[in-house]
Amino acid sequence: MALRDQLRVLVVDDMATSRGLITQALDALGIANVATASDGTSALASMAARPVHLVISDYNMPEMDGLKLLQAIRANPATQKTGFLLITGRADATIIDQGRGLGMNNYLKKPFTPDDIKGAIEAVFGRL
Amino acid sequence: MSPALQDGTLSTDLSRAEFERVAAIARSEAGLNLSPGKRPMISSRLAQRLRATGHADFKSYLAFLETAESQEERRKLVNVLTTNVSSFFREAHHFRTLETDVLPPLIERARAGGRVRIWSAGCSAGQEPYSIAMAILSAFPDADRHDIRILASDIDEIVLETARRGRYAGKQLQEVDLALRQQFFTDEGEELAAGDGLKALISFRRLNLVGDWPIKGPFDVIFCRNVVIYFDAATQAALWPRFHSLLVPGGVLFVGHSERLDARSARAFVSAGVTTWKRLAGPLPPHPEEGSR
Repeated sequence: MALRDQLRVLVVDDMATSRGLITQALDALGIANVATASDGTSALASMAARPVHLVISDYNMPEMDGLKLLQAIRANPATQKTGFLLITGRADATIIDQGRGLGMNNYLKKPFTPDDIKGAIEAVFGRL
Repeated sequence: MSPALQDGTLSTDLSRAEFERVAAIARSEAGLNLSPGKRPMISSRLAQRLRATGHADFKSYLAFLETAESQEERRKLVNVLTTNVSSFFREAHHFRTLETDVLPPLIERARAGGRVRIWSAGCSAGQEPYSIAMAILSAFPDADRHDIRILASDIDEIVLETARRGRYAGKQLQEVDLALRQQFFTDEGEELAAGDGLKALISFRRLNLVGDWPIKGPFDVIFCRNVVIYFDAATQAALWPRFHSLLVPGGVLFVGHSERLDARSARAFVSAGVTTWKRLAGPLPPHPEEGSR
């Protein structure tokens, strides 16, 4: 079975349109096993109920931002090895550095294409 | 015009169309990218195979290559096309980084009973893995009694056999520090032979980087230098993620001086020196296939 058939992904973004775009792009890549969450707290709850291989999270979210979510994921033994891909705006070099320090696996800069998402996932897991 | 051989029976003139056919075979067999600029080099290497197989000209040799029975010959062809010059401690800055930054914590781990793995991917005739082994043993003389090992792989069975034997003409080791040479090689007349201490650390295996990799990893260090330059851009871009997924977080990838990670893969690494890449420190996410077994 191909990687794309097995990979379970959680998309976290407070903007419904962004969640939709990412989910669509994943679908186009053949990744159908996708859950979504609109904030960090529900993302953590979702992962506890149904573990995933990869979290794709926006940085810019109210309450718990992407880095705080990453921190919480790494702090929990049950989820600490989950792949984490951070989405950031163009000029967020410090956020990227912080993300590196906290153990993100890769990042995507906005704006990005479905092909960019594919590349970012493959750089972590190997060929889809 | 390209020269014909003196005896007039073999022509080493490879036409553009013939070159394209060879390039197509090299691409489908091993993902190799033969640029037209390499035509003279390809021509002379092909001439070796022509002589070896007794074909009178490229036309008949190519016709043979395109038949189903020529699988063995296609493999030999790939061997001669990928054979390249290598030397001990090539690109010395990588070995300085290895000795000063990379090895010390790995040796500590091995000493404490941990596992350490280094992969020399595209090891050619063995100069690279033996250089790595010398670096390890210089800092860690009893390495062979710990779980620290080097996997050395190449697509070319002939160079791999040379690597296994570990015998080199003296002049090939001229550049190697005399103390190292005396410590790790034995003098056997015209040749110098790699000692058992070096060999104990290395497993040699045939592996096509473009095919399946029957290896689990993870690796702490991967050397893949001056290998991917033979691959086309798409094959290269597909290779970096595979190395990434076999490296431990913080693991190091050394690539050749003219080789670059594509922009996407580079994001999952941090530059750690000249053509030296460190995998992002995030944990190694379990591959989905691990869970389903």
